[in-house]
Amino acid sequence: MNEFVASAMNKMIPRLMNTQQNPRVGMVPKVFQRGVYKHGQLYAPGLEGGMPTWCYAEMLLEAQATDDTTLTLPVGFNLIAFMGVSYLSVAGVPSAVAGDFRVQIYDVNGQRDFIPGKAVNAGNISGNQGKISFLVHPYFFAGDEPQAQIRLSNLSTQQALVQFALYGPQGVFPE
Amino acid sequence: MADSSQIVKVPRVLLVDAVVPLSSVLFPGQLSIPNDADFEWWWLAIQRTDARLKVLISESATQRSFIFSGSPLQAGTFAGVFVDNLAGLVSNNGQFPIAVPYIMPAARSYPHQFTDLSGAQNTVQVAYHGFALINVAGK
Repeated sequence: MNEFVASAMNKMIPRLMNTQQNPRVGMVPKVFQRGVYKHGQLYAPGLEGGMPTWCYAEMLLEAQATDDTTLTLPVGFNLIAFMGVSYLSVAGVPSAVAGDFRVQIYDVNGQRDFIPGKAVNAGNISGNQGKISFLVHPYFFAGDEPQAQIRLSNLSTQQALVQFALYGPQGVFPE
Repeated sequence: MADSSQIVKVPRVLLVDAVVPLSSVLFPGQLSIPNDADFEWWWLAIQRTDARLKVLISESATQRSFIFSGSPLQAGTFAGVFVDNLAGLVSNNGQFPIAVPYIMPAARSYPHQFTDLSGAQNTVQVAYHGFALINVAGK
């Protein structure tokens, strides 16, 4: 054995390694289906037993129009994902052609603006057909009557039926 | 005495198949959990003829709904969420992760109501992916 190597082995200094695993590892979608969640691991911590719930706002918006509404959320709702679709429409009848829209979200009880001062394009916050974005950390809507204010803007130059949904478990109260 | 119960998770896919007539409102379908085991729900996948299809899902025993709309500005009657806002195809990498697994007790039923906005017959299959929680204690 090389003298230098032998000397180094004898004097090896213990290294401090961070082997702690983040309890939410894998919660951020890196590769859909395979990389998001691992079977047997519990996500999100403290939300076990919550009922999967979709809460949505739906608006028939004229060309480039904006409107807002307040959603009454179920008690103990924990937001973890967004979904949205827009269909160009004629006289209220949706066509198969997708439109584009922007969204703003506000927690009424918590008085928190999720997208302060701006509106995010739908493609930058939500997808559809399962190709969606998850929050890294769940957000709990507090209060006996949790509410979310949703403002939707139709970016298309014709009428569109826009639906935006919040997804998460209900009926659980993180500490 | 120590608890000798042991659960084996067996992969299971439960389906709701429906041929929704054109422009029908709240067309019924039903998910039935088999009697042999509770079902641990992890993923949702949906195949449909046309995306302009809405669905409402509830739990019969608890009268609880999976889908809410508290919006007073609803464009139409409360007919549920567009299926594309729930899930897509596994083959398109569009399977939706429930994220926090939900236990559906054995023998429980989950009524579905489909509403078509496409104006044509809409064939839909909703696939619940998860595990049967088989109790193998003493076997």
